Amino acid sequence: MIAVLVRQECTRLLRRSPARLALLVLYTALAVWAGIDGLHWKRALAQAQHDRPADLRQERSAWMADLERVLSSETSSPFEARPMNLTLLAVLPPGPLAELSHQRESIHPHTALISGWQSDASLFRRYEVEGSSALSMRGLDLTYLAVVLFPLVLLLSTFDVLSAERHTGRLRLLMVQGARPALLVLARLVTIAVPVWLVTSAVAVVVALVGQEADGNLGRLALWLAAFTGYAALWAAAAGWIAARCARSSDPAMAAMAAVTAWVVVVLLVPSFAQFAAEAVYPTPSRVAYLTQARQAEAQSRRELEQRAEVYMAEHDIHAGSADQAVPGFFRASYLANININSSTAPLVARFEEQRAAQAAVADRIELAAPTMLAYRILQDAAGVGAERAADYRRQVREHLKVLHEAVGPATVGRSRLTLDQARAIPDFRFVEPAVPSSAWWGVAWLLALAVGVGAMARRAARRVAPLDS
Amino acid sequence: MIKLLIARELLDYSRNGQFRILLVVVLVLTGVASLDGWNRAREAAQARAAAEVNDHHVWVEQGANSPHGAAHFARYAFRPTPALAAFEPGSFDYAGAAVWMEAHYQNPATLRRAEDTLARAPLPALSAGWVLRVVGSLALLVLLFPAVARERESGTIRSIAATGVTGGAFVAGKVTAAVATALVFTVIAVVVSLLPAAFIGVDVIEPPRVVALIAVHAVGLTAFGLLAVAVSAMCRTSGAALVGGAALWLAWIVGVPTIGAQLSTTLHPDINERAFKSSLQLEAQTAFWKGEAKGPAVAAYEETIAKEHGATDFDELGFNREAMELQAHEEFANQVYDRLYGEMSATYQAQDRVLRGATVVSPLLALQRVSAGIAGTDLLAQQAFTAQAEQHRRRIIALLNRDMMLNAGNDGFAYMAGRELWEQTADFQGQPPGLAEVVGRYWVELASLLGWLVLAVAVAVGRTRRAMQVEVLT
Repeated sequence: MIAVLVRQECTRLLRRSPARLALLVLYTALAVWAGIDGLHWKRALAQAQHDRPADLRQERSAWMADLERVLSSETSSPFEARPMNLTLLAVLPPGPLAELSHQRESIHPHTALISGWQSDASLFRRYEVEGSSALSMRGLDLTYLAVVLFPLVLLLSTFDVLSAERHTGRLRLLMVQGARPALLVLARLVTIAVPVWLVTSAVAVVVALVGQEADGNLGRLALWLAAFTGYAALWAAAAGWIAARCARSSDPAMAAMAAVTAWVVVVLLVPSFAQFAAEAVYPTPSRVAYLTQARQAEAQSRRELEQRAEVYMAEHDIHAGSADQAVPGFFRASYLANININSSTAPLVARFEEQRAAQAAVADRIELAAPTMLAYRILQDAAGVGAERAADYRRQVREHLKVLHEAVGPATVGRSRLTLDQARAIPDFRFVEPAVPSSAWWGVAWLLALAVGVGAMARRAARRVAPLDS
Repeated sequence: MIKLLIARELLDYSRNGQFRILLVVVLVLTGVASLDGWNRAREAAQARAAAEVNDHHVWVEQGANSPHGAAHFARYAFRPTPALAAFEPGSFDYAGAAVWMEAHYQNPATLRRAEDTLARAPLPALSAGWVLRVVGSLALLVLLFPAVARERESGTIRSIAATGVTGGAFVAGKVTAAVATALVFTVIAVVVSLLPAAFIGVDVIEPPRVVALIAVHAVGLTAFGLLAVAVSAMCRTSGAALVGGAALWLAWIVGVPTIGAQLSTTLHPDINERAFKSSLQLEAQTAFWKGEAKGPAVAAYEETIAKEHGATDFDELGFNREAMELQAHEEFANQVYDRLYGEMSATYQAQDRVLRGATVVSPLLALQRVSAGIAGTDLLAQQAFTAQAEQHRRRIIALLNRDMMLNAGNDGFAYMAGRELWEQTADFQGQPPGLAEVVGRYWVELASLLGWLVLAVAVAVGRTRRAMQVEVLT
């Protein structure tokens, strides 16, 4: 029976539902567009990161060669191989599957230069050259399509499956022939949801495989597909439930209203409201406040330069007599200013991290009742993108800067140079990709459980549908 | 007769449980969003005020310093937070809040707030303007989709027509009550959003902007309400009217903005940060300090200074040459910056033009863009801020270089200036674009809104009149 109904639905879709068909074609076109755009974005970023940054004055290898030469010769310029000039490039590569979810990525920094010239406040002072108008209006990517547009297409295509049949009297005819309302709903869902799910998944798989530069992303792709499938199943169940619940209404408009309302509440309002609540309850210190603190610290260091240099030398057992007086004072002035900026702004950074963690905890709790938020988070985690990953990168770079500062500090303030061993001991920066949290798979399980629960409700509601008003 | 129809509609609303629920939902959402906007605008304005005070303090209290050293430490320009940002944040959080006005370099604005948001929602954050456009228009649709279709289904349209009511009066009666309710919400949201500015004095409230903001919402929401009635009059059943109206609403709220944004960056991709930085470095710095541009630029500036002081040769003035060369570089680099930043601005404008084009097919997108323009949270305001900051930077650096050139003599970079010089540099005072400029910039969006209003009136009245005639004749 289901096969017959599915065939009927397919025929109806192709021959008598131009609006529905147009919706599916439009969705497919958008999915392909989003996939191609994601690939372009990822390749452009990877290419840009491959090029040497304009503000990287000297590669580490060149600096090491200078140091070796200077240490082995008797005469050298005081500007050569200074510890402050040892610069490490810190790159945040595009996420493993960033092509599936790239729209919010442009806003985060992807490179930083780690050197003694930098403080925590200036590490990510990049050129923010993206247009704010386009940036503020979310463009397309596959994650957006999966989370926002997929449920919409599904609901718009299925809301009237029972009410319209009932309204026209066809439901009675079909039930006489042995069709059950649940099967009718299932047939429509199969006709609409399966192709849309297939299109999204197929584009995601193709894009992920084309964009893959290293092995090991299959697990992430599996998670992305599993999360999308769970979310899709949930919305399919919800669409069935809405169609069955509204079947008794003689007016298909009520079913449409219920479908649109469900989408607005679940996809638009709940996530926005949850984010607003988390940010309002746990506000983070602003970037302007952070800059203010950093400027204060820098100005203070400049005024107290000599005292600070003396204290530093005493703490690190540096003898003034060993200093090369030809070395300009701005090296150590900048270094001392930077470490003072770091220590002065540390409480603000800690406060920021604390509040962000609290915000995330609130969002995590709300997620259980907000499937759109949950799916969106898992899809982002699977793709290896998002604000959390960017924050992780910033944290790692700050830690690395601390390591470098500690290594070059004594030589900089003491106006001497690093030894070769000391220089070699300073590690290069390599971003440690955060593992996908295990909670992501639990989230998928939760989505599937919700789908089963809502599906059972839909089935029960469908059983109660009578062909005519009593 | 219109009064009677409006009274009847209001009576129907008051008896309608669905309307009461909608009223509470919209009221709560608008209130919460307004308070959030209130809070965020207050925090932004306070942080900026504190930063400005601090920037002034560290500048004038820096002690004895070389003017060029001070020019490297430099100052910051902080973007003003418009009072109406609480109601309509526009692209405010996605644009930099501060510009570092240092020597040698024109820097773009930095410190975007959006970078620090939680980003757990797939769509933008809640704001009062967003709630009114998205939820308010949906509420209007819910209230108005049965306006004509249901009267026709129940047959009451025939008796109404028999009383001599015209199509125009019928539509006015149906729309006025719903739109008036939406406008009351708009006024409440705007007023609540402006509370911090009114009581704490964080920013100046400009009454013409407030009136303009309410007026464009009145036009936008009325147009949408009328379109809902037009769709209702065009459809045979109220069900079809709801589906048609919902399809339009979804296309305008989700479809057009998403495709417009995507199209804007596909047709006009964002400038690559690295490439842009490289161009600035190579063309504004390397070309001068290591290339061949220095000679002609310095000679030209030498001549300007000599002429200004009535001398035939710069050297006979006894001024410091290093400072003169620093300023010659600034003059040279400024031309490069004007060109490169001009190209960047042209890209923004081109992206913006695509979005502007999209407003022709979506009155709700037009409303959003005009609303952000009036609130001063749009690209126009951001570009005005960065342009003004750059002009201020050029004035500060020129002042510092001139002081060094006139007073350093042979001391060069060892010359120290003091508080007297630091106090000569004025604090940055941003001036947002005036309302007339905003209107000029958004004429397409305004025309779109008015066009949709006229179209909606014509279609709603015309189709309703026709529906009444048909019902009477049959």
